[in-house]
Formats: sequence, C-alpha cells, structure tokens
Amino acid sequence: VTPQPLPDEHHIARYVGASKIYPSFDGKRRVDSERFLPRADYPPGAGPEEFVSVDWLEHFQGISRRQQLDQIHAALQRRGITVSRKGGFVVVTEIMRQPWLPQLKNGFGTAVREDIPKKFPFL
Amino acid sequence: MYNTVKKEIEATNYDHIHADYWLRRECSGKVSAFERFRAERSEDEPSQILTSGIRPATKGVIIKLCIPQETSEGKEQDTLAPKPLIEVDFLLGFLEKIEIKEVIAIARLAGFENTANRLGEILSFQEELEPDEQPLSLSSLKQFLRFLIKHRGLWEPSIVVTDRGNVKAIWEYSEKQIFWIEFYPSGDVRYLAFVPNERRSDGIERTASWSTASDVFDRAKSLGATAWMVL
Repeated sequence: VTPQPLPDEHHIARYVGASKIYPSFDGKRRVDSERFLPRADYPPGAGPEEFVSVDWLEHFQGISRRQQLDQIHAALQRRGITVSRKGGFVVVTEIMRQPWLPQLKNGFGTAVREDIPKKFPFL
Repeated sequence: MYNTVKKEIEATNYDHIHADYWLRRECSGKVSAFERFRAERSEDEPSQILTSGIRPATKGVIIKLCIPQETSEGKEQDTLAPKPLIEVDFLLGFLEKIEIKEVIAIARLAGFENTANRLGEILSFQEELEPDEQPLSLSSLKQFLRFLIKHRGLWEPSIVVTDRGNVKAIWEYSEKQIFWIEFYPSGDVRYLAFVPNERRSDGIERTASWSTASDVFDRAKSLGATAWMVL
C-alpha cells in the first residue's frame, strides 16, 4: 500500500496517558508537543520507536467528533491499550503545523493499524 | 518578623538523632511526626512558637523575602539565591540513599505538598495504567527535588514524565511565559523558555538549550523567566 497524505482539513488523534498531562495556567489540560515525536526507547529496552502511532478521525465518516473518539477509544481497547479517563485524546489542529515547530515535520513517520487501516506521512 | 524567623532557623540546629527520628516516622507514613517534633521543640523554646507551624519551604521563602528589607547596610541582596539552611543540607544528604516513595516523603516534608501529591499520582498511574511506559527515573526525580529544595522561592511546577522516564517540571504563567526543565539522571538538564518580546512579530522569544541542574536556574534568571517562577 502506498502511503497517502491526509488532506489538510483532516485530523489525527493520539491517546496520552495521565502522567504526561498537566494542568495549564488557564485550567485546561495540556500535553507538550514531544508526545508527537517517536519515543527514545519504546517499548522500554527495545530502542527508538520507529513511528508515531496516531489515529485518523475522519476514517469514521458521518458522525460527531465525540463519536469518532469513542470509536478510536474502542479500537485502542481492542489493541490491548488501557484507556483511562484521567488520560485523554490529543486532536491535532492547525496550531501544530506552525513553522516554528519543524521538528514535528521531521519527526513524523507512518502509523499502521489493522483495525484502522491507514498509513500516511503527516504534514 | 525577620528576627523571629532568623531565631527559628538558628534553632533548627537540632541533633540528627531527633531529626532522623521524625524523618523515619514521616517515611513510614506517620506524617504528623514532624509536626509533633516541631511542637515539642517549641515547648522547650518559647521564642519559636510564632513560626513553629511554618513548613520549611514556606519558611525559606519568608526569609528570602525579608532579607532585602531588613539589612542594615541597605545592600540589595539576591532574593533568589539558595540560603544555607541546615534542613536543606540535611534533606539533600538523605536524597542520596533513598527510593522513590521516600523521595516523595522528603518532598512532602520539605513543604512541597502539591509536588508530593502529583508524584504519588504519577506512580499510581504508571503502575496501574501505563505499564508499558518508561518508569519514572529515581535519579531524575532526585535531581528535580534537589533543584526544588535549593530554590525554595519558586512556586511548585506542574510535573509530567517524559518518554525517557525523566521528570519535566513546567512553570507556565501565560501563553508567552513558559519555562520547563527536563531533569536527566546525570545531572544534565534540557530547558525551554518562552518569554515576552514585543519586538518579535508574535511577541514571544523562545530559547531551548542544554545545561546542568546546578546552572539552569541562572539560565532562567538571565532570560527573565524567574519573574514569574517565583512565588
């Protein structure tokens, strides 16, 4: 399968565990952008992560954002990932594409999942 | 107030037998032992009653805030520089030989309640919800707490764990005022600063670099970030 870039108006989401989320000055929960870079050693002891695993929201057509995330939640559980209410889904929006974050462009690889069969180079 | 607080600090030169006693009680979960020890000492020395309820971290802040106003020479002193408090040396000495839960107890003992609570949460999350993530590094945690104890005038930062298992401390005051430090086990740190700069088109100057845990405070100060990191 040849990787296809996602349209600019589409979104990706990534589940982030509670230990990576902090309360911001405005009361919102935030994660830093490093959550969208390949991890230095993941799984622990296995060396650098090959790609960043994300899910494509618009794969689920005709439903609300909340329902899209519910679908992704269910998919994560099928993969054996523990999803907690204390964690959260980060949905990538335009702000992540600002030019002063070039490391995001370089850092993205491809995401491959069987139940959400999309491979894409992001950005 | 300064004189009273100063006496309090001088009087903290209690022997290590007593200190070790209440610390061990603290580590074993009997959190009120420290307060009882302070109260017992206060009974022996009435002059300390006014400040006996002040936790060490708060007390450090009070001293720093008081010194510039009280010095007879009128010299401007650095309110942010760490002061040689006996309790600081004592706590730092303990950090060398303890485990994660004991480090958290030390943090609570030093008056960093929010930090201790957050670290406890993180341990719980990692055990129950994130078993495949890199566990919190004890060495990184010690570096972080050592930094926090040495710079008691800072407000307690938000804390996350990086993919390497390091502690990342985040001081965030607004979109334009952010400073975070990632503490590496070796004593190195990585830091990022957002500071306001109206001459830039977006109004934010960004600086990211590497330094050491002992030098990063000076870096923050030179960038002007300590203006909002201090209580």
